[in-house]
Amino acid sequence: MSDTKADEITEHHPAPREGHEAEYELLDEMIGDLKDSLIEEGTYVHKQPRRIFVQVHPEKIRNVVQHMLDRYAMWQFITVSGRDLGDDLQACYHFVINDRKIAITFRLNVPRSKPEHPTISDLVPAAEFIENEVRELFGIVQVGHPNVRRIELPEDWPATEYPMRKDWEDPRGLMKKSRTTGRKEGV
Amino acid sequence: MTSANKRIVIPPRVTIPIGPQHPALKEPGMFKLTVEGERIVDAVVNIGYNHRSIEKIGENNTHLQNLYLASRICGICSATHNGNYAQAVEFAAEAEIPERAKFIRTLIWELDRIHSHILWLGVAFHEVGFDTAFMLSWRDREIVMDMLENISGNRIHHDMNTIGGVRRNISDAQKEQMLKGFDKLEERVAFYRDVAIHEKTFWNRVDGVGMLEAPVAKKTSAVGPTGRGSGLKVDVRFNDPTQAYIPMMDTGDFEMILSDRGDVAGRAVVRVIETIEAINMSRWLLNNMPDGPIRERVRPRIQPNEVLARHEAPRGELIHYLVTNGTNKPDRWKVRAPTYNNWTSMAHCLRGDYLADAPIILAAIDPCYSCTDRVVIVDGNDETMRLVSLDNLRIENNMWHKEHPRRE
Repeated sequence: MSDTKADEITEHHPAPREGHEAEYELLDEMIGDLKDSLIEEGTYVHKQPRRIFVQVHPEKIRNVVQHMLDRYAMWQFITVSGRDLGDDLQACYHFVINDRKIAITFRLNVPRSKPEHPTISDLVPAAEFIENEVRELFGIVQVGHPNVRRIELPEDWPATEYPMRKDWEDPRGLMKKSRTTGRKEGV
Repeated sequence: MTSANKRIVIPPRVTIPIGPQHPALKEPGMFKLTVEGERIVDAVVNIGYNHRSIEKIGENNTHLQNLYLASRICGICSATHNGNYAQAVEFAAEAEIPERAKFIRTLIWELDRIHSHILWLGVAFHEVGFDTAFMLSWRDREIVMDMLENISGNRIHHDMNTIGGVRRNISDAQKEQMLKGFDKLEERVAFYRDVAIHEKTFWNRVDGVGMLEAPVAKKTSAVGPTGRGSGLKVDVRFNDPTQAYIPMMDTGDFEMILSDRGDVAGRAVVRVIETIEAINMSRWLLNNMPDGPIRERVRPRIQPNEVLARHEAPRGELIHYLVTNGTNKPDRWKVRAPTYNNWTSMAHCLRGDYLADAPIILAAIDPCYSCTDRVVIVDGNDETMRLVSLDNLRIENNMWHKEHPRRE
C-alpha cells in the first residue's frame, strides 16, 4: 500500500510466478484455449494461494464455462456475487477445480443501461437459485434462465428496485439514521 | 365386463405445503411436495423467509463491526462465519497472524463442528421418532458446550476472533480440563456411532432413503457431509487448508471421511465419524499449540484487494468473497453459506421417496435457514392445500411407519 501512488492503487494483486506455478500453468492453458473470450485486464493469479481471477466477455461466458466443464471437469460451482461498479454491473462466477484444488472466479461486466448476459443455469444446474438472487438484488438479467422466480425478496417488492445497488435508497430511511452512516434525526 | 367400462383408479396427486415454520429444525423454509398416494413425485423448495440483508448492512459497517455481525448470521455455526470473515480481512490486508492465534481459531472451529454434528445427530434421531437417543446425545453435547463457554465466555456466539488474531487465550488449566472432556466425549460419540449403525430403530428409517447419486451430487454441487456422503472429495480443510489446518494436514494423521452410499444413512455415518475425527483434531491442536502472542495489530484501513476466503463449516464449504477499497469498510461482502448449495439437490433427494420420510430427508442436509431460508403439502388433483404443523406431521409419519413396518 505504501509503495504505490493513490491513483495506481488497484484491487488486483498479481502474484509472482515463483510459488504459484500450478496456478500460472492453468491460467496459461486457459489463455491459449480461450484467447478471444478473455479480457487481458483483470485476468491474473492472485497473491493468495490457489486463486485465479478471469475477466470474460459477457456474451462468451457460456463458451468459457462449457470449455472448462469439458476439459477440467470443473463441476464444483460456488456462487455468483454481484457488484455495482458505477457505470457497469459485475457478476462474479466462482468455481473450484477440485482435481487441481484451484478456485477460479469468472468476472463479467455488463453496462448498467442494459444489464444482460446469457445464463449458465442449464449448463450448471446448481447456479439456478443464485442467478435468480442476483437478478433480484442487482437487476442483472440472465437471458434464457430456465426457472425465473423470486428467491429472497418478498412477493410484493417493486420490480424496478434493486436493493444491493449502491444508489438504492431505503424508502424508510433507516440506513441514513444509523449511527455509523450519518446523523440521527434530531441530534 | 368389457375393457371399455373398466375403471382405472389413479391415486390423486396432492400438493402438500410443509412450512414456512420448519419441518425439521425450528426455522422458516417452505417445501411444496406433490404426492401420489404416499410417494413424492415432485418437490419445490422455496426459501427467502429469513432474508435480513446482512450484506447490505455490512457495506456500511467497519470491518470490526462486521466481525460481530457475521457471527450473528447463524447461531449454530457462528464461529465459522466470524473466523472466516476475520481471515478474509487478514488475507486482504496481507497480514500474518501469530501461530498461537491460528491454533486457537482452528480449535474453536473444530469444537463448533463437534457440537453442530452432535446437534444434527440428535435432530435426526428425533425426526425418526427415536427420542431416547435424541435426549441422550443432546445431554452429552453439553460437554462440548461447556468447553466453549469455558474458553470463550459464551455457549453460542463465541466471537473469539478479531482482525489479526483471537481475543482470549487458553490457559494450561483449561487445556487439562478440555483434554479430560475429550476422553469422555470420544467414548460417548463412539457409542452413538454404534447406535446409529447397529440400532435398527434408526438404520431402517435411513437406509436407502433420500438417494443422491454421485453424478447428481456433482451436477448440483453438493458440499459438506451431503457431498461426502455421496463420495465426493469436497473438504476445504484438505483441499485448501488455511490457519492451523496447514501444519495439521502436513502430519498426514487425518483423513477425509467419505461414504459412497449416497443416502441419508451415508450422510449420518459421515457426520458421526467426522465428529470423532474432529475430537482427534482438537486434541492434536491442544497438544501442539505453540506459545506466543495471540494477536497482531492490523491497521483498520485495509488496502484495496479482492479475496475469496474458503473454510469448511460443519455443513460444508463456506465462502466469504470480500472486496476492500482502502477504507475501513468493505466495498462488497458476499457470504455463501453451505446450505445454499445443498438446496438444489434437495428436490432430487425428495423425489420418489415416501412422504413419511420427508422430515428426515430435509433434516439430512442439516439445513441452516438463517444462513440461507418452508414445506407445503398440495393436492395435485383439486389443488387443495393442507397446512401441516411440523409436530403433527412427525406424529402422523411415525404412526404411518408403525402401520407399515417393513417396506420391501
